Amino acid sequence: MAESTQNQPEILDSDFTAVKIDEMASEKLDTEKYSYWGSVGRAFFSSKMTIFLLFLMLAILLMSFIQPLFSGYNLNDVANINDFGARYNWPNAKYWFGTDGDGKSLFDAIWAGAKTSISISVIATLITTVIGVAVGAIWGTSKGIDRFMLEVYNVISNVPQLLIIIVLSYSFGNGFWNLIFAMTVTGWLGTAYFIRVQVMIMRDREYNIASKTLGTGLGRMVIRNIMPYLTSVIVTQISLSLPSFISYEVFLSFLGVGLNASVPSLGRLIQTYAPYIVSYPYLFWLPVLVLALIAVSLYLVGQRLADASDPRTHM
Amino acid sequence: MKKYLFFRVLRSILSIFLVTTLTYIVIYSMIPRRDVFKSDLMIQKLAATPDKLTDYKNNAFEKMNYLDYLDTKALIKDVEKDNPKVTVTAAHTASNKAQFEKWAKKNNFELKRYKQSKDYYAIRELPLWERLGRFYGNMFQIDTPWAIHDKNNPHLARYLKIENDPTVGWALVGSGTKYRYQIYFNGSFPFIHQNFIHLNLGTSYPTYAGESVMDVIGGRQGPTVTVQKKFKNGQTLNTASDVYTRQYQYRTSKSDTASEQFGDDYSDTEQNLRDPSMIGTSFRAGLIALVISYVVSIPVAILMARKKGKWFDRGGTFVVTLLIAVPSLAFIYTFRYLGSALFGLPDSFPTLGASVASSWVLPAVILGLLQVSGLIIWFRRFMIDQQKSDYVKFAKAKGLNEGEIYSKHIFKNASIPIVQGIPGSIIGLIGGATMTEEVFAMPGMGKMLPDSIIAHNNSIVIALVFIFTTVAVLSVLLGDLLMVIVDPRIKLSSSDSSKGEE
Repeated sequence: MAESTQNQPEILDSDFTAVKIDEMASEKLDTEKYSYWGSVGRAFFSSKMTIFLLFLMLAILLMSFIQPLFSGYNLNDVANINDFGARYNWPNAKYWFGTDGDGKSLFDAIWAGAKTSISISVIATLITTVIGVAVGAIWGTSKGIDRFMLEVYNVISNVPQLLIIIVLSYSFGNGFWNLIFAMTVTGWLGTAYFIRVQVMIMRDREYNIASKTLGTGLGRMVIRNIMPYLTSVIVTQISLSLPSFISYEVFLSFLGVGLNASVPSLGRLIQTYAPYIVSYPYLFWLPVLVLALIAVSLYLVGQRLADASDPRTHM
Repeated sequence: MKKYLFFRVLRSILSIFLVTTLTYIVIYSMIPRRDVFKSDLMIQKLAATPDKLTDYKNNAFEKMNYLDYLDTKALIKDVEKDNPKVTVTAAHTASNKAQFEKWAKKNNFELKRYKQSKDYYAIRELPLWERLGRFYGNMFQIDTPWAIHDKNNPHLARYLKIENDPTVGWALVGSGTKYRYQIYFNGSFPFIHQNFIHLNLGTSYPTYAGESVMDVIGGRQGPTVTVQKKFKNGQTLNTASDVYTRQYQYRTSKSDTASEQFGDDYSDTEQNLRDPSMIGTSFRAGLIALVISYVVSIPVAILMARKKGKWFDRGGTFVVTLLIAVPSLAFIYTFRYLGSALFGLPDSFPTLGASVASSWVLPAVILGLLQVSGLIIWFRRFMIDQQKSDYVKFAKAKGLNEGEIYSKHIFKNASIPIVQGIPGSIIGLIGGATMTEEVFAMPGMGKMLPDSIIAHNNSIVIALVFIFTTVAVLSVLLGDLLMVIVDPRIKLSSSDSSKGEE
């Protein structure tokens, strides 16, 4: 090689002229460009119903996290208790959702309660999902762990979840974090089992066997090859668990077990106002309605996001 | 199969044992024991007499298996029993004190003095494992002809024989046993009854104070009812006592009229009450709900699967999605309101009581409807999966019409997982019952759980967890067995342990 170059005439820098890079040409691919999250976004926003639900969900979330900052609602505040004019006002221009027997605005109460309920549900879902997916991924790939975890799962899964949560939140005592602990301490097992089954199905597919033959490690295989396939499954799981945790929180507060007496929550509102179902129906039905709206919008948005995150719908 | 079944039952029992033990440990180690007196009115009444208060509290703790408690009298008796040579009295002398201390040290008791009288009493904290041991050790009480030993009745006959009893008819009658009728028959479900094994889950406190937990949960409730019964002495009388529960009455507390009526020492009876027990109430409502949920969801799911993609399927899917997302409490209240506003049904169970059928309608229907959305989703899925299978295409090719294919082919195959799920949905019913019974103030086990939690009645909480877990675990087992009966292709024993559970 070295000799042949010497025989040829010398090539100088001046022989060349700089050409601008044609970006259009270099980027041109025969196949259409595919971006996963871009496609997810396109599929997700293609339905008007979804956009409406998303706005509804965002409106509720913003209201419940911003409105309490300004209203300063306090469950034990009895400033208006002697003001007879402020009691039992039906919904009107001043009190949008009316007032209760202590002259407290139901509008403030509902958003303060919604904040607690949504926070609990989101935090509990986050914890169960993170632990569930991590454990499920390990569970699905290791035979020894599988044998042990199956026994644990068989014991726990036979017991109604509500029963476990009631008993645990009773034992740990009242409190925000105690309640979250009671909900998540066994709650992640269901997610983990679900992920384990999915991982086991994917583990033995041809592309993974090929990948393994080429020397991919177990950890990389799980994280890079299997997990992306499970995005839609995990989102489905999240959209199911958000409303269910709200439901548990509401029921426990309804019983007076979960939260401290000073913490407002939708369950506590429903319990407090249940006796007024006939005399002042707005006091009872408005919290129930808001509760239903929160749960339904979270669930439906989650379901649609799960549908959109399944690559098969991107065609 | 037999071997598989054996290990499966063993594992189920282990499951129940583990869950109950864990609950026991969590509850007894985490809940401060003073909490049980939170809503006890006696505490305030006794506040003026600290000695009685100490006595009351320690007696309560002893009932709940927290500690062993000996008041002065019992302490003296125990000390004298241990070494018969010495005599001890309640007097505060040095020699008495020495004796007490010696005994307490030997038996690991802690010697204490009442605040006012300065008399001695002794307590011993029970470690958790010992409490657990007592709980399981006393769980099953088996009745034998050697169960009763009455000092005042040394010649009590001891036998078990089948005879035609004048009051209850043919029965296995025992003497020397705790219960008179060991096996008997009557018109109430399940028609054959036994008395030789009794479950003992501890003593209830502070609600239903002093009653045995099984009596609280399993005993009938409501007002007493009188029925006509023929007695051994030939009389036919109206009586409010439940003659089937006749137990041995010790001579010291004997009632002459009762023993004259029955003609023996078994005159201690329970009251004949009108309404079903807590278990019975929950069981009845649950059974009706189970039927309702399947009667509603199967036809809807079939129709949705047949009209897949059409408006009925889409509308149905929308409604089902809504129902899944709506929190159960909102669901229950809404349907309760609809039921009472539209059909005039009572919106609370005790309004008309258990003896009126319309009280049962709303709770049972709502309990059933809570399950419907989940069931429809699954059944629709099963039916649609079957639609694509080869045998359906073959049947179509042979010219069978849609109706025939669905009723004769698809339904039979799709019903395998449905049948397997029936007992499993009992787990869902238990969860739903807790809410429904609470909202309707229905005196069942589901309402009892939150009620006893709020009252800090630990022994009832543990008993309910035990019962619920047992029902849930056995129903999962039953579901797998049913599946084998419906579909002979499925073999539980050849599959590995994980598949058996699914």
